[in-house]
Amino acid sequence: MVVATQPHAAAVAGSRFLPRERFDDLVAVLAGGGRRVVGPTVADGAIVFADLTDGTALPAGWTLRTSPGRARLERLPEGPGSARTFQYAVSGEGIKRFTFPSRVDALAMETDADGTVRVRVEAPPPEPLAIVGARACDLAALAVHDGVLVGGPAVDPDYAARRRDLVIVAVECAVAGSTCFCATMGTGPEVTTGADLVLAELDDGFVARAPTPAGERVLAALDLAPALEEQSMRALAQVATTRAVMGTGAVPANSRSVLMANLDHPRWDAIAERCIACANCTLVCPTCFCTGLEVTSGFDGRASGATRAWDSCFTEGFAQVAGGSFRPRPRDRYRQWLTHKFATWWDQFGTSGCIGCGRCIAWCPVGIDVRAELNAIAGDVPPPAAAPLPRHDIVAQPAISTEALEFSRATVVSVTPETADTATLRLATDDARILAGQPGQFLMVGVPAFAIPPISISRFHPDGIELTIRAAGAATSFLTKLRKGASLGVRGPLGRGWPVDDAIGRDVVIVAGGIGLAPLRPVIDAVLRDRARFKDVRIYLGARTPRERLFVDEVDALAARDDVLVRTTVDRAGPEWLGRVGIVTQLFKTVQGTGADATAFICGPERMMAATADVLGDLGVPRDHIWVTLERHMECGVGLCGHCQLGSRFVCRDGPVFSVAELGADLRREGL
Amino acid sequence: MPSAHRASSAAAPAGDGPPSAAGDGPPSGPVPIIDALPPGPRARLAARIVRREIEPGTTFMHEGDVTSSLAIIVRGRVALRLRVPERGPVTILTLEAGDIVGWSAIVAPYRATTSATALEPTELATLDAVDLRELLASDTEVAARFLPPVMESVAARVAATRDQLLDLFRGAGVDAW
Amino acid sequence: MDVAMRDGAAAGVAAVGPAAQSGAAANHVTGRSSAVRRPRVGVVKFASCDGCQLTILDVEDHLLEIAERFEIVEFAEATSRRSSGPFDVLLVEGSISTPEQAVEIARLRAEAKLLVVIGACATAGGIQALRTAAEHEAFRTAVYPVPAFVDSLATARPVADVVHVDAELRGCPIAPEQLVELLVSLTTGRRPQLPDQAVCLECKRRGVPCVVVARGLPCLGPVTRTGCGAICPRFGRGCYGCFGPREQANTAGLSAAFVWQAANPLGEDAAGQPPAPDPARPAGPVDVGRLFAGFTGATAPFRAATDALGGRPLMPLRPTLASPPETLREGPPSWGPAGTASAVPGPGDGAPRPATTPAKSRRSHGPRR
Repeated sequence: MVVATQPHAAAVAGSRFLPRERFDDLVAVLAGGGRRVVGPTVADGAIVFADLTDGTALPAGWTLRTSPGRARLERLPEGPGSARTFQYAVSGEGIKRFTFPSRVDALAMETDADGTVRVRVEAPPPEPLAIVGARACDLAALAVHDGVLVGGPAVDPDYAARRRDLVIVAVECAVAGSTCFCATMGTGPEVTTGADLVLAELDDGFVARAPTPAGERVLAALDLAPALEEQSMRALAQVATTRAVMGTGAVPANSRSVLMANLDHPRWDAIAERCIACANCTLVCPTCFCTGLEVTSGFDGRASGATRAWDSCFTEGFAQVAGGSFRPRPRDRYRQWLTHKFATWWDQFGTSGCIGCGRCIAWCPVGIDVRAELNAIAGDVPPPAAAPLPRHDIVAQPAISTEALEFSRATVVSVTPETADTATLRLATDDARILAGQPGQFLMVGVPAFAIPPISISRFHPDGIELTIRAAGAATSFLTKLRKGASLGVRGPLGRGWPVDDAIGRDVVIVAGGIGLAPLRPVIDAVLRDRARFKDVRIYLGARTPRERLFVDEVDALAARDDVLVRTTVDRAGPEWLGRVGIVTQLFKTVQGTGADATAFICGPERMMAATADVLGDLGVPRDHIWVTLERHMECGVGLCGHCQLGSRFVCRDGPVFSVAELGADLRREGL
Repeated sequence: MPSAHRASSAAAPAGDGPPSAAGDGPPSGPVPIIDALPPGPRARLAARIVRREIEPGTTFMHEGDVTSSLAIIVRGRVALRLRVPERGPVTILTLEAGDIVGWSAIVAPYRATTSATALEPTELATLDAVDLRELLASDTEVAARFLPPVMESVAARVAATRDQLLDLFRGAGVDAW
Repeated sequence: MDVAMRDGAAAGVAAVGPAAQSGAAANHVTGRSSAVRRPRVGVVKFASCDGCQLTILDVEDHLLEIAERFEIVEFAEATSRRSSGPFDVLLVEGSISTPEQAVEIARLRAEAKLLVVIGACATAGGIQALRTAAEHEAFRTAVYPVPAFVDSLATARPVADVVHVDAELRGCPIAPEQLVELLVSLTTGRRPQLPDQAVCLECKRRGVPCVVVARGLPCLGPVTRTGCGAICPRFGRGCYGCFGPREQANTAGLSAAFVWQAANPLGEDAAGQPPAPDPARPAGPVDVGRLFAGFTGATAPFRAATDALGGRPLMPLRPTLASPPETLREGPPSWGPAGTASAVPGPGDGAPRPATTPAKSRRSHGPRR
């Protein structure tokens, strides 16, 4: 408490007083120059942010009583404070809608008359906006979003544009709801970051201070008298009372370590009985940032748009790939959400993902309380005496950049059918980034009217690349049917590829199952190009049936070399097949020599990769020299959409190639 | 059919390249498994071994028949096949040097669960089923030493079958893209 | 991305579009929009109210384009022209509620490349499927004065219970946007985006405050598939589940919360007593169970909730009609072949025949509950 209030008291020193009847003037000053002003209003039985032209629409005389599963408007009791306009704790949905709208235009794609595909990244022009009535928790959440959406390697252009010219008038909470726990999370109730103007509401007006030049300009334009010391002291005492009412210790200080040590706690099953996986917690959460693309098109499919919409890890489709969903059970989804908020967010962004606003508690239709669940999972483990509080600082806003999301154009040079449902497209491109890509990296591939799938690069050429695509769904089916001359949009290269250098001077073991050979083909190319730098090279290939083997002629040619061992097996075969039948791991038992001196690159179904890694580990191959590539649902490929999250990683950005040592138990936890 | 041609070329032993020496032993090399046993059991089992050369394409064990012997592959490759209704024979596993064919010789009801066909010139070290059962029943030292590697072989096949089943039953019909 | 099509549907969809007919890739390169032949579309109905068919006429902005791209060969609500199959796409409304309908849908299935069921009746059985949870015979005798004229199956079944279905559009009625999305996907070869997630996502995206949390109203949105645009919560009432269960619908979890809310009303009146009962809110478990017994109440997750809590529609609904006048109790012995139609009046002739057999056999099927 002392730590938080001392600088706060200093900030109060230069305060002004805004009489209640002059609130309209504040809105007018903010709106000067055509700035849009939004603030809390009462609508549909809730407090909802909407456009303000003056102060009359504010929720004067209302408060909001919250408890798990309930948030009800109530009239303030008669008395001197009955005209207050901010006498509630947290609104239903905060300010996220204005910086991170639920639906925005993301892409426009069209096929020209000459057949050329064009993809344009949409980013809105910056619109001056003022938000009145944000709370300390809202600002902490904004800081979290800054870290996620513009603080990483890829910038979300839409967010950056909306964030560009934003004035925030914050209000320090005079009351706390039963669901509030910002004091525990170190984010409030005092406003310490992110606001241009901070108001503390008293019965007859507002004590106002301006932490930023923009806020100072607003105060100067209003020409207000300094706040009386008595008024400032009342404002301070009020927020101190709010803090005291909330108390601290709502969630265990060691939630992060407790959660990660209890990923198989029976409590997850108990929660899943009550949790209806409706996604409301994620959608009211001001830090949740996951989105998906909704593709729309006309009947001819020549032009299409992609809308980026709020998505949620509580839906089955969220973690869906061709083979199924990585989180089929609501239990898995709840665990993903809670562990991300309180644990893995720290690893990814250096802060807590929870800012203590309690919206997920109040707006859960069945009233699940994250505080209770965290305490139940922590059990009787005594928390450490003091744990560091999260710091949520507004980061400097970078330039609005669409770079991470820009597509370039590629043309189909040839199409080679590989199997009944798989084809290799050779593409010509002059995109230098793509041509300089690494084995194991992938592209997002777009054609109008279809979803945009991630596809691994299966070979690099000086003037283009190859993509080997299995028709697993509508988009990939369409891609495999493209013909010479077809045009498509490509974005990449994305992700971290295979560390081929890790194998220099060592034995190389390459294990591929089915289509998994495609992303490994550039590794084989790279190793053979520099064959002398590697010791023994052994390639083990599995396929479901002989007909489903990929690159058969190439593999035959490899097998004919005397400096590479190639073993092929299929899961089942007719009598005409005289080769090996069995799962790919069985190939190892007759091979001598693979051991501590080897680096392995594995690609296939996750279960196959895990089993192969086990066998190789038993043979002595160190776990940090066993590399796998993971498949996950991806919408953006650059760590912005959230779909491919696995523990503390975004598979798209931090992978898709990982060592088995890096993944640890995550390799099996959500595998298909 | 092109895939059949490719199959044969990819599967040719020459294509396996030098780093491996497995499967390339002399015509009457040492017998895997047996040779790894302590001298006593090894001698008593070795005395009963009958070596057999099998021509490629020869089916030496038939699904459903009484298993006449348990064999250890010394050299070559053997396909285990099932007859699937309306599809004919399907190879479910291939075995190589060191693998056991015909574990059903010592497990009731002593009938083969698959057929076994040599894919390459193959040498087997065979043990007569009845003879072996009598030995295992009367010679506890042989039983104690010989059964674990047999169990290991059967367990590996169960595990492999399990993985194949998981693959077979994995979410069919779902398309994400 | 959500998968709302049934197994194998994607392939089926890709097969009927003009893109597929002219070669998707060629079309893509040359931009030819030429459909070699417009897909033949039929619209038929079984036990239903025609509301979903009318939705087809409701997509005004797209009607012309649809007419250009599809040949509508059978559509009773829009044209008196009649045609038989084969159909490239057959839209089927209504549940299968009589033996004749079961035969007819099997015939139509054989004539349709792609069979798409539309609406709550066709996808979930509809309101008439509630009879499967009650005593069909009791309904029959309660509702109709001369029940023997009414030849119906003991159940009203979703079409997919009778024949293979390639895709489904949910809702009562279906959402015009989803219909257009389906037709667009047919022509482009893409997979229709028919998400199977909860209505809640749409409420939140549209900024609609949760009626459960803000008002204490019961709402099936959390367990119901989205697609309607959250139309009921947008107008301040709870979702009644007309799109049917979403994936993994935890109806037990939701109903437990509603039962708890009913037992723990919020607030108090002036005298410090719990608030007076509100007819818009469930008073207890049976009311909660009844919430699920609506248009899609025959689906497994919803029916399980109703069964667990009570709230099945109980018989007799109209006790006064449970014992019709003696003269009306017996109908004709059977429908009779066409040749005997003049001798045996069919339903709607208004000429019930005098009773020829004792009435008591029918009475034995009366209400039991």
